[in-house]
Amino acid sequence: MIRVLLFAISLLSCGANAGAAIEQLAIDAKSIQGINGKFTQSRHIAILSTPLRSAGEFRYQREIGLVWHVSHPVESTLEISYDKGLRLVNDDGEAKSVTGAELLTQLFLGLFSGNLDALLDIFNIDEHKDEATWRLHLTPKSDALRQHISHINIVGNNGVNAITVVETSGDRNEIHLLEQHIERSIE
Amino acid sequence: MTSIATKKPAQRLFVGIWFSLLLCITVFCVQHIRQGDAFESNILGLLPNSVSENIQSSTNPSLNIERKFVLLIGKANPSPNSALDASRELLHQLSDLNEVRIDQHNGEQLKQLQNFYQPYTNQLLTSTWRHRLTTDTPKSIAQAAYAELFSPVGTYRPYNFQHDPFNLAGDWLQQLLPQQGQFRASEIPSLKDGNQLWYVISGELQASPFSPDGQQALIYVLNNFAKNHQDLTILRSGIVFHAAEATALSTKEISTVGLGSILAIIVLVIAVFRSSKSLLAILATLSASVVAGLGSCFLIFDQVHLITIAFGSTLLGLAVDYCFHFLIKYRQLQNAQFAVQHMKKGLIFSAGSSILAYVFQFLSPLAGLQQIAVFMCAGLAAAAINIAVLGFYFNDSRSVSFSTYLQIFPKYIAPHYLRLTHTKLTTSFILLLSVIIMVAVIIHRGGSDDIRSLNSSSAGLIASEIKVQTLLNFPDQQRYLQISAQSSQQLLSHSALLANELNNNGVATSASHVIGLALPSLIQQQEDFALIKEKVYGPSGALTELCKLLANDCSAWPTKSIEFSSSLTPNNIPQGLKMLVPAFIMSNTLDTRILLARDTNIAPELNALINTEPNVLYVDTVANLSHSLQLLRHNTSLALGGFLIIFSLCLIAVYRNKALAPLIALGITITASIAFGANNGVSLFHILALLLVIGLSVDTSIFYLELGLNAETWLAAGLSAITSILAFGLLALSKVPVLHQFGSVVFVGLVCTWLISPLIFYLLNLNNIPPHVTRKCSDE
Repeated sequence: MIRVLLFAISLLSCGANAGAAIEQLAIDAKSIQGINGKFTQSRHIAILSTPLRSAGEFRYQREIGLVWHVSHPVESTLEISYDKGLRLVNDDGEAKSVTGAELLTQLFLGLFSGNLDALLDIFNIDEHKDEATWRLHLTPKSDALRQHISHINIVGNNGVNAITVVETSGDRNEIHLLEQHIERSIE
Repeated sequence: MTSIATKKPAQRLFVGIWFSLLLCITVFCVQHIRQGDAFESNILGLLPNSVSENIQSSTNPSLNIERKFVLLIGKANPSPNSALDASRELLHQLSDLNEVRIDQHNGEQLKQLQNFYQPYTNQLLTSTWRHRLTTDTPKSIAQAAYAELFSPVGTYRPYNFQHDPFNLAGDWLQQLLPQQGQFRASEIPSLKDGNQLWYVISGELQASPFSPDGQQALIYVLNNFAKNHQDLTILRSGIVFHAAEATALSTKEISTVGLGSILAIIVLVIAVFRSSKSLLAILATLSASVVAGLGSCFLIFDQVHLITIAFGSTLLGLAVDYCFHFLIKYRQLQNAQFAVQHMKKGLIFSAGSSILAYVFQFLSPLAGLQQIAVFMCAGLAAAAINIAVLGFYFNDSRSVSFSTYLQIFPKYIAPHYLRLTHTKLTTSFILLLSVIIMVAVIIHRGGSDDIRSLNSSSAGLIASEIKVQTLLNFPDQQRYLQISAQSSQQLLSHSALLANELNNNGVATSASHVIGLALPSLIQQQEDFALIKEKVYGPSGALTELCKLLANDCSAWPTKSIEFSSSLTPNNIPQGLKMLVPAFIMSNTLDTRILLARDTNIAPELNALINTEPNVLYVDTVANLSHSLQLLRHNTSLALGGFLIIFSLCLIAVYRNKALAPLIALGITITASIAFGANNGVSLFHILALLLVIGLSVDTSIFYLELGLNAETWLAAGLSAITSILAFGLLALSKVPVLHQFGSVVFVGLVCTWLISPLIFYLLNLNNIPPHVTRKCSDE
């Protein structure tokens, strides 16, 4: 089954031209043991006059993986881990694997863990770094992916703050990670 | 001595015609080879035409499926960079080849498929959607779609939200490309297998995979690449790789058998005859044989199979027999014409019986064996004719005696045979008992007809092929259900119904493999259109409910404007798209094939279902081919039996009671050949090899009958046997199963003939020089 996880694809982004920004991301993520936070998502679809807005919480733990919980306007939960892949959790708490999402698993966990090597063959990355903020601009390397995704922008400082996925059709999805509480290992 | 001046005009004319003919054939062969495509290595060429045509017609020939190949380049390493860089390098190298076209994987074909189905998006439903629209309320459908919009897992949408808000067509299109989900959208498509990351390169040859040019260009690049990247694993899948291996193997076998035979001949001639003229005479005869064999094959067949050439290398061992008999007789009589006259009857009968055996082989339905038969018949005939020519011209003043060699038989061999004749009864009993035991062994082993045993591909290549097919989820192309119908629409309905029944019986069939699911019948399309129109776009349909939930202006949606189009039929599928969906590849207008998954078990319930369905046939290609080989083996065995009876009657008619000796020797030789040469059961090729055994065994016996079993004939037979045993012994070591089977049987047959024939002659008291030979010698 073809699953293009638009959100996730934005997270897929990592670069062949790895430089300061990615290095900064890796350094920041290296000591992270866990992150709790909230997110908002605005999905802009051409035919709809107003964007679709949703919100929720996420929890990342290095040893376990990521739980992404949409709480408004409808509830849904996604679990991502290296050993079990990507799974959707239904209302009864049962998890169902999503096929064809191995790449997404690598991307989600790679972004939060700061290890993005597995994604280097997918995107070209341009990066900018101000004093405190870094920005990544990702464009697909393959023509096939380019037919769906135009580009992805990631902004962060001391972790990822915002992700914008712009589709080839013009639709876009903006995600903001808020109120992040980071647990770091003692070194 | 015969001199050129004393030649009769008729002899000159004969020799002139013969050399002119050889020259013409040589020029013809050289031209044919220089034009290219003179040789082929397709293993199917060995099978009966009807069978190979059946295999090749399994798919639409215009799609050139057999030219496709897939390469997986991987490295078990967390960082894929080196594998990606290497794959990129290989991709560029392959793209530079004129003989190869590399698939672009740029999504263009997918886009074309998407565009093709776009006008019909409101009349196509997956079985899941059909069920949902039938059973769920519009409100619940709208709620599910609404929730999905906020899910972090966004669904693949080939058509935009405005055109296909519930992604009905998207899901439908997705079921046609189930394998797409396993690929990573990397610069070069890749897939994961545990910790192993594989980059995928695919393409097709511009010509047949059996054409050496394209084959060699691709293999050269790949081998160089593998040599330079030994840390990478390269998996290969495609007919071209099997064909290339077969070509390399056949070429090696030709070199081994050919060189081995020639070296043995040269060593024997130098050791025994010690004469450059004798060596020249032998080389001239062998050259004439090979040129005649090859020329005849080129005249009759467009291309000559490399296995024909490899097998034809044994011609050297057979053709040289006549030379040895001639040269020994020449040394004995010191006159070439007399030598030929002495051996004329034996030569005609010997060459005649061998040629007759190959003519019989030519009548077999196996195309490859027909070529071998033509090659050998022409080669043997040319060798015999050349002996006649030598009779006019051969003159060797160097008359080194080979009395040392002539002492071998009377001094070391004959006494042993004589000793055995003293216990005639015991020896005969042991021979009889041996034959009975060997027959019992043959019956116990039974037949061996599995077509897979003929595969000459290496274990490594077969493992690589299976790995690629498993990773890419290719179905089993050897087993399928064949469905036929009276109209194309009926075919679509029947195949969809059958797929449904299969699924109910636990046999999962992908929609992409069933034409009726990849392209529903017009009736099904109309039903689905009505369902979509009512449940999705109707006044109180799911779209209206979704609009309420979204709290948006939905006026841009095509609520009332959808229309049915009746042009989605098999005839309108563009040729360029047919490669994308397996069901399109496997279908013709009135018949189609549903490929089964590799692990599909044909349970009795499924068998019963298939049997009750009219116009549905379960086909297991491997089993069918094996059964064809079994039938051929049975029929060939019966025909061989008939041939042996007729041949025996001919021998009896010519030699009366003396015919018993060649017949008994032949019986023992045939039994021993099969018992010792067919260790894993008797195959069709073992039976066909018996034809050669018959020819060779009779050859030896006829010369003993005609010229007497004495030091000279035994030496000539011995020298012939050594060269032939070497040629067929090398063939028995072949890695090409067909050649191995032939070689093993003939090798045992030759050894047995060499040892047993004199014994039988001694046991029957036929070991004296015939009176007509004694008389002729004294006259001269």
